[in-house]
Amino acid sequence: MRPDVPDDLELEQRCRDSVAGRRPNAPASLREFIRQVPTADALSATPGPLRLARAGERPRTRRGVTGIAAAAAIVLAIAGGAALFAVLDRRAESSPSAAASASYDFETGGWGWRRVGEPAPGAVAGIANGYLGECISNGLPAACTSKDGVSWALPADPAVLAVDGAAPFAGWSVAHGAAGWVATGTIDPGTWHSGDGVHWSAVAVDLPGLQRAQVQALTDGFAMVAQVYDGQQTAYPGQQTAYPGQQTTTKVFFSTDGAVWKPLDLAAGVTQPQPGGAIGLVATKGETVNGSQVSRVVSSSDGVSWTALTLPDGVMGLSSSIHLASGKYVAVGTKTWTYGAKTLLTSADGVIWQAGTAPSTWLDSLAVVGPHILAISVIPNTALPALWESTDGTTWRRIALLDGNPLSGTQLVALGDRVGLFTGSKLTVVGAPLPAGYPTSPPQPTSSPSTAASPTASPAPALVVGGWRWHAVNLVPDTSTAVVRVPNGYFGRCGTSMCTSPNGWSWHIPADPAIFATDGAALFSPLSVAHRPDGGYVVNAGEGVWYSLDGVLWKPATVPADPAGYRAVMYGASGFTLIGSPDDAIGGKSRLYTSPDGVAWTALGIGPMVGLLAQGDTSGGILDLTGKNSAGGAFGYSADGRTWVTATFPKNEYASTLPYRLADGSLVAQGGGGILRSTDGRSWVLLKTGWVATSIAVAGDRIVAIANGSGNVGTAWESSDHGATFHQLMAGANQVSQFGDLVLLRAGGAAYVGAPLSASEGPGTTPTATGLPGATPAPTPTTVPMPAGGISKDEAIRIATATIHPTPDELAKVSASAYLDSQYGRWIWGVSFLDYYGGPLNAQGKFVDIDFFTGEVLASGNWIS
Amino acid sequence: MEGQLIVTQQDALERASAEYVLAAEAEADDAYRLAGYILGDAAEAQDAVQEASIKAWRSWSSLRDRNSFGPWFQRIVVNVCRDRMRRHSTLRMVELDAAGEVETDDIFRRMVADDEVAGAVARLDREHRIVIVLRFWQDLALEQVADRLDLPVGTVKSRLHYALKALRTELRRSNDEA
Repeated sequence: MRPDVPDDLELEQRCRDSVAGRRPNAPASLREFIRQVPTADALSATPGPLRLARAGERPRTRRGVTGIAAAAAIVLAIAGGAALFAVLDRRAESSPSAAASASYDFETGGWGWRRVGEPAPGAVAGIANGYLGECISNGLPAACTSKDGVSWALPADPAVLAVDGAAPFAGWSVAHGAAGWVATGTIDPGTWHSGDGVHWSAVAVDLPGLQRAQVQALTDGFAMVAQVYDGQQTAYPGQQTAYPGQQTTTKVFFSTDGAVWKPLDLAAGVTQPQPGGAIGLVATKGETVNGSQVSRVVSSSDGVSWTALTLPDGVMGLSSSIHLASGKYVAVGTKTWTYGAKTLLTSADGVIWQAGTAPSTWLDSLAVVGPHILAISVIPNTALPALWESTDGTTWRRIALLDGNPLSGTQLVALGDRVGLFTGSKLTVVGAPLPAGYPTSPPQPTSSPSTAASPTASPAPALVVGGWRWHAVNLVPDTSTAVVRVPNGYFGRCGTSMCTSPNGWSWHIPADPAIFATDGAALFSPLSVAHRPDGGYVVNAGEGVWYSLDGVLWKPATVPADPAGYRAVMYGASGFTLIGSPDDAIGGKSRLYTSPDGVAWTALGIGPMVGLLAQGDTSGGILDLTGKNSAGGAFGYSADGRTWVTATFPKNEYASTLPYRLADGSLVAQGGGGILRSTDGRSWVLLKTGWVATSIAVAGDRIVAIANGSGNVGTAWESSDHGATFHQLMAGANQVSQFGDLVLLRAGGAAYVGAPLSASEGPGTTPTATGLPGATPAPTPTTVPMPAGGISKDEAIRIATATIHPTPDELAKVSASAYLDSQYGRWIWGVSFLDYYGGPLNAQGKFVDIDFFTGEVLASGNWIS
Repeated sequence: MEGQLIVTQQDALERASAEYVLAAEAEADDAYRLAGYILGDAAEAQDAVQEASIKAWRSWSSLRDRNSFGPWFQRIVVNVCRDRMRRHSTLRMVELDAAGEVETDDIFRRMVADDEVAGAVARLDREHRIVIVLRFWQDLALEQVADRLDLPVGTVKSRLHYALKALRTELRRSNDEA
C-alpha cells in the first residue's frame, strides 16, 4: 500500500478535515423562499413562476405557483375536517377501490366502512352496552354514547351510560377487570367506577391539579397514572382552571375494587410509569451496571414487582401492547434515534421483544380486531399513509390508502369486533371485516414455478450463448440480501415475503414449503450462508442467525448476543463459526462463536477485526482488512473463520468481494484494478485480462466478468481455465453478480440467470474462442401475464400524485402501465406525467416507479426523450 | 356556522404555516450544507433545498412529531439530492471542466476543486458520496446515518466500508495521475 494513501483512521480524519472551514449558512434568498412556501397560495392568482431573488441566478428549478398553492391547499383541506369530507366524498365516487354497499358507505380491501355522524367523539372506549365517547357540549368535554360506534348520542344514552349524581361524567380512559370497570379523565371528579359497565358512580380520589389520568387493569386490581400540576395553582374567573408555568408530576394510585384508591409507592429507581396495555404498567428503571448508570424499560402486572424487558437495539420504549389469541404479544416500540418514530415489536412472553416486520419503517398506530392486526404506516419511500392488515404481524396486506379517497386517518382504536379511525381529533369512520373476508389470494407475482427438481434444467425456454444457458428471471430477490442455494432449489427475500425458486430463474411468492419452510411465519434477510458437506445450513441474516438441519426447515438459532452484531458465518473442519462485527470495546476486533450444527452457539474467543459484511456463500472463505501494519492495511484470509493467514496482494491492490471458489479449488475475487486469483488464500495475483473488471461471478469452473465501456454498458468475458484466458461472451452487458451457485446477468434492461452447459449438452457447449459479437441476439425476456393481487391503476396514480405532486396540467396527461421490470426484478407500476410533447424524441415529463404489490415508491424523477 | 368553519380553517393553516416556517428555517443551514456537500454546487444545493422545502410542506400534516422535523427534513433533502444526481446523470449535464482552474465564489465548487479528498468524494458514485457526507461531513452517528437513509445500521456500516475503499482507490488514482 502506498504511503500517500492513508489507512482507515487517517482517511476518516482527512474526510473530516476536508470540510473544516467550509460550513456556509443558507443564503438569505433560500430562507426567504422557505418563508414563502406555506403562503404561496396567496400568489396563485399571479401568472408565471414564483420568482425569488438569488445571487448568480441560473435557469434551474422554478417552482410554479400552482405547485406551491396545491401544497397549501392540501394542508388547508386537512385542517378543515368538514370541508375536507365534502371534497373527498366526491372523489370517492370514482374510486374503483372503494365501492359502496347496502351495509356500508364504502368497502375497500375486504373491510366495510361507515362514516361517523355528528357529534363525532374525540376519544372512544368500549363499555358493556356500547361505546363511550368524549364529545363537546357548550365548549366543554361531555360524555356521549353509541351502540354501534357510528351513530352517537349527546347527552349520553342511559342504556349505555347511566351516571349517579349530578357531576358531569368525565372518564375517557376505561379499564375492565375482575372488579368491574373504572374510568378516569381530566376534570374533577375524574375517577368513576361501575360494577356492570353501565351504571357509574364518581369515586373520591385526592388529585388536585389533575391534568390527565389513565387507568390500567392489573392482575389484582387497577392502576391509575395521573399527571397533576404541582405547586401553586392559579384560577382564572370565567375560564377553565389553568396552571401556567407549573411543572407536572406523575402520581400513581392502586385500587383492588375500583372504588377505593391509595397512592402507590413505586419501587426504587422506577420512574415514568405509563399504562402499557396487555403487559401492565411500563416504566423506566435506573440501575448501576459496572459503575455506569443505565436505564432499562420495565413492566409490572401488579404495580409492585417490576421485570426488565429486553428490547431490540434502538428501541427505547414500548406502549400499546396487545396479547393476541395465538399467545403472542405485539406492541409499538419507540425508536431512539428518530425522535419518536415507532416500530412494531413482537414477543412470545411479553418480556423478550423482537423487532417485528412493520409495513414500513414508520409505524403510526396499531390495533387488533379479532384475528386482524391493523396498522397505520406509510407506503415505503413515501409520506403517504396507508392502512395495513396482518394476521401474524409479519406479512402485511394493504387495505387502503389513507389519502382521503375515501379513507383517511392518523390513529386507530379497536372497538371490539370493529375498528375506528381518527382523523385529527375526531373519530371519522368505523370499519369491520366483510363477512366474506378479503376475496383474493396473496400476491402472486409469478406464474407457477417449474416443478423441475434440477436447478440447472428447466422446461422453460432458454437461450444458449457461448456455452451458457440463460433464462430471463421473473423476479429478482432483494439485491441487498443473498440468494441461498439449498438442496431443493433457492430461497431469498422478496420485499415483505420469503420467496423460492426451484431453478434460480422462476421465483415464487410465497415460498414453496418444499424448498423453504419455517415453524410459523418468518421473514429474514439472508446475508451470508455456510453449509456442511453432509447437510446442515446456517444463515447470518439481518434479523439474526437461522439454521436448517435438512436445508428445508429453518429455525432461529440460539446465539450469544454480540453488542456489535455479526459479520459472517462460515464452516470448517471444526464446525460452524460466526464472526462478530469489530467492537471498539475489544480493541476493534471481532468476537467468534462456534456451533457444531448451527443450533446452539457458544463463545469461541476473539479473532481479528473483520469489517466486511459478508454477503453470499462463504465456502470460498473471507478476505478482508483485518488490521494494520507498517505499510498500511493488512489483509487476512480465512477459509473457516478461525484460522487466519496474512494475504499478500500485488502492489496497490485489495479485494472488494468475497473470494469465490472455482471447481479446481482455487479462489478468485474482484480487486480494485482487476481480478485476483489465489490457490491458497495467502498469495494473490492479478489476472492479465487487458481490461478492468467491474463485476465478477463464478459458476462451476467458469468465471464471468464485465468490463465496462461507456455509459455503464460493457462486455461480458468468460474464462473456463481458471482465469488463464478470457473469451468475449457477449456485448451489451451491464453487470454480473453471484446468485447462489449461478450467475445473475443484467443486460439490456433485463435480468438473466445463467449456468454453463454440461459437457454432454449439444452444440455450442464449448465457449467460442473469439466470443460472441454484438450481433448475438440478446436474451429475450419471457412474457409474463400481469399477476393478480396488486394495487389498482387508480391507486398507483394516487400514490404517484402524492409523491411528486404534479401540476393540474401534468395530472391531466398521466399514464400508467404495469410491467415486470428487469431493473427492479419485480412487477411495477410505471406512472408518467407528461410535461411537454414535441415528438417521440422531444418530450419530457416526470415519472414514478411503484411496486406493483406494496405500493412502495421505488424511484421518481424527471424523464426526457 | 360556515363563518366559524372558515375561521377555523384559516387559524389552522396559519398555525401550521408558522410552525412549518419556524421548523424549516431552523434547519435551513444544515440542509443547505448537506445538499451542497452532496451536490458540490451552491446553486444546485439551493435548488435542492427549495424542492425539499416544498415537499416537506406538502407532507407537513403527516409529520406527527414536530420534534423530529430535522431528521425528517434531512431525509427529504437526501432523497431530493439523489433524484437530482440521477436526473443529471440521465441527462448528461455538462460538468465543471476538471482541467481548468476553478474561479468561482461557490464554496462547494471550490471545496471540490481545491481539496484532494473532497474532489475524490465528488467522483464517487452517489450512494458512496452520500454516506460519506452524512458520516464525516455532517458528523452524524451511524444510527443517525441509518435513519437518514432508512437503512439498517449494518448496511450503513457496510456501505461506509466500501465507500472508504472506493475513496482510497480514487485518491490512489489521482495520485498516480499526478
